[in-house]
Amino acid sequence: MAKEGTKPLSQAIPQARAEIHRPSLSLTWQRVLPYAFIFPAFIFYTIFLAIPIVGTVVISFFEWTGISFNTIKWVGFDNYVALTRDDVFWQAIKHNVYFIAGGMTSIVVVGLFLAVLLEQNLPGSSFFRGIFFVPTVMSLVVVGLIFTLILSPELGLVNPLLRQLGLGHLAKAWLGDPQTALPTVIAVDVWRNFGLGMFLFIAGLKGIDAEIFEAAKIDGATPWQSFWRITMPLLWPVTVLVIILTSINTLKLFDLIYVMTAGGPNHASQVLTTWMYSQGFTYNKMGYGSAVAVVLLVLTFVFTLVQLRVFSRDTTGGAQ
Amino acid sequence: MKQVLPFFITITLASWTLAQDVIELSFWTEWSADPTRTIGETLIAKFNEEHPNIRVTHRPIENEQFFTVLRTGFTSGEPPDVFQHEANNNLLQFVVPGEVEDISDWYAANGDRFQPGTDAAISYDGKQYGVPTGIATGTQIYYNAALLEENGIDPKALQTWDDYLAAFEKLKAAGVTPIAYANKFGWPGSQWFYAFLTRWVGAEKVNQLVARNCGYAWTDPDIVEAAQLYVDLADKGYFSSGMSSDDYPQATAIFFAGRAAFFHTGSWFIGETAADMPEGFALGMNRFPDIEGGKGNTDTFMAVLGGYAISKKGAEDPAKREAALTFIDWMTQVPQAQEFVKGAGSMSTVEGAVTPEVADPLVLQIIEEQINGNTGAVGFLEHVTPKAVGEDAIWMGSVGVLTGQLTAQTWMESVEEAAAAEAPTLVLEPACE
Repeated sequence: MAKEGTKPLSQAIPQARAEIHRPSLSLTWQRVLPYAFIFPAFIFYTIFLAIPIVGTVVISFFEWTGISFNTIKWVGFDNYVALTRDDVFWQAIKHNVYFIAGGMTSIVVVGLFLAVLLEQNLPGSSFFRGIFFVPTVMSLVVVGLIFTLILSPELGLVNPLLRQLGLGHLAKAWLGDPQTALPTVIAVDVWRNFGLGMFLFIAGLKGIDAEIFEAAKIDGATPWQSFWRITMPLLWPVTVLVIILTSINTLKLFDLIYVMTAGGPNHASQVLTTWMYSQGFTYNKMGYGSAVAVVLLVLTFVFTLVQLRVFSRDTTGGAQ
Repeated sequence: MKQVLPFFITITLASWTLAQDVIELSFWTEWSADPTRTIGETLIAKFNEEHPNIRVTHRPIENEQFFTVLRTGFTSGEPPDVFQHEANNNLLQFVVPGEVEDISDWYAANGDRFQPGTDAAISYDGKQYGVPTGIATGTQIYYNAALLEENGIDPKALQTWDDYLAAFEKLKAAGVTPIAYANKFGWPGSQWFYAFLTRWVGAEKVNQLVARNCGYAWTDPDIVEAAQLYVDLADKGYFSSGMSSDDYPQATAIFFAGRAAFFHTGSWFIGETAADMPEGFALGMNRFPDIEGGKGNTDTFMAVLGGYAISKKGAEDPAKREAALTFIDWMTQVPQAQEFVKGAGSMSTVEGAVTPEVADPLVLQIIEEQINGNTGAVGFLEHVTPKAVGEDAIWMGSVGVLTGQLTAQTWMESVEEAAAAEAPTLVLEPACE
């Protein structure tokens, strides 16, 4: 006989089954719900990224003017073979490497230096934090146009200023000289982007426990030793982030170069993105331009992968 | 309520029916800056007013990006219904893949309103794919008359290239920049080169060269000599210092600011002066001179033809085609064509549009000195050669020789290499016998 308040077994079992089943419905929802959240982004990603990438890869195997599919012609790997003989393509790759090396290094060094300086709470630190960040939010096209005018040998400000300072021998066509065109564009890109690096470093610095520095100081560490043995290792994850962000941004940079030099003079500042654009949209060689785009995509992917592998060591940098 | 509802339904249906009757036409042009922008938009507004069943929507696009945007429109399947073109290859790139409407029927009935001979550059395979509306020449040199006078130079006494070289030297010695020049994108440099080619080897050889006829090559000694004439200007320091980095608007600014005495560019510059030239600026113009020893002469000129065309999409149904033709027909009538002659210094191809009453004296001067009685013409090379030749090898090379990256010889070698790799897109001259 069942005790008072208890149910007979014949009733208890179905009820228990029902209770067991109830969570299984919730489990289904738990499984479905993430996909529901991801779905809009997935659709967006598919339409605006995956399909164009696949389309670009496919078109790279065709000869096509890009005007009408009536004229499209399968050429297999011909576009890729032609790339190997294209001097400007190799020149563009070389310039991309210069851009990454020069731009990334400068942004990391300048950003880190200013971040450490501004974190010393010197007078005006807040003001300069804001000022240094302003270029980052400016349109690249606007930045390019402003600097093109500033650097113009005839109408600009830089050369007259140099002459006023008695440095007239340095005055030149900054964007019209093959020796200075690329470094000048790199410098403008650094000016525009160091603020972002600086802010990321500041965020990283704020995350370091001040007690570590105090302990080091008590132990007799100099500021220089603290910087190299505490700050830098603990900032390593931020440094990796800045390096990866900067190099990807640099590889895909187009607008600034196009506005300032259009890849010139005579390809002296041509990079893969501008060469891809010229081939596809100016010379009506959409297949060839797509092949350049595919190479750029592969390079970006490999570059990022290598960086992640190289930098994926102990995030504390071994600082104990 | 019962009385109001049918009223609203009737109004809505009537509006919908009316809206259905209005044919929408998109029209893309290079009229992105004044004076052409204002003239164009005023005319379009007038057309829309006079034709309530047609609504033309204008999209002005900046000159240097125009054909890229236009091509992207065709690629995406959303081209304009009616668009501007610059004839020859510039139009044929859309004609050959079958994207432009054949309007031979309309042209047969109305083509006599245009100057004779202007239809060749817009026809293909015996069919007419557009209308010519204007011609722009590139064989003239503008000058700042006041600046020349200050330096003791009589512009009308400049008859030969040697006269110009002497004038450049005199200006340079006086500390005045002889020529305002900005070749960032390469096309202004190519215009100098074409002018030298036309004068040094003659129009006939240039046209045969473009068609890859007669065994001519870009590396022929006389072609390289023509290139050298251009390179010499840079080597002697006659160009403004931003020659390889400034762009066309900067060159016009330098010229209008009185910081250089000469400016070589197309006849479109006459229209630009209306909007940009400072008051009191003493603008003068000479045709590009003869060069001693050259086979060409001042009776030949280089030019580009502009006009309108209808895309296949713009003719997808008979009513739309009719509307597009109505628009083109209206735009190419004398009163409308004269608006561009008056306000923008255009050299209209519409018969009777360019008259002394409405045309700028410089336009009349070009017509008298260069077009009437000419013995030959050369198209702008980027429009009669494959893009890899005209827009890459020639344009980029014209910058490269300024910076010392190339010499006249290596520049022409790169042009020849590009030309040899591409089939000629236009055959303008009969093959050599």
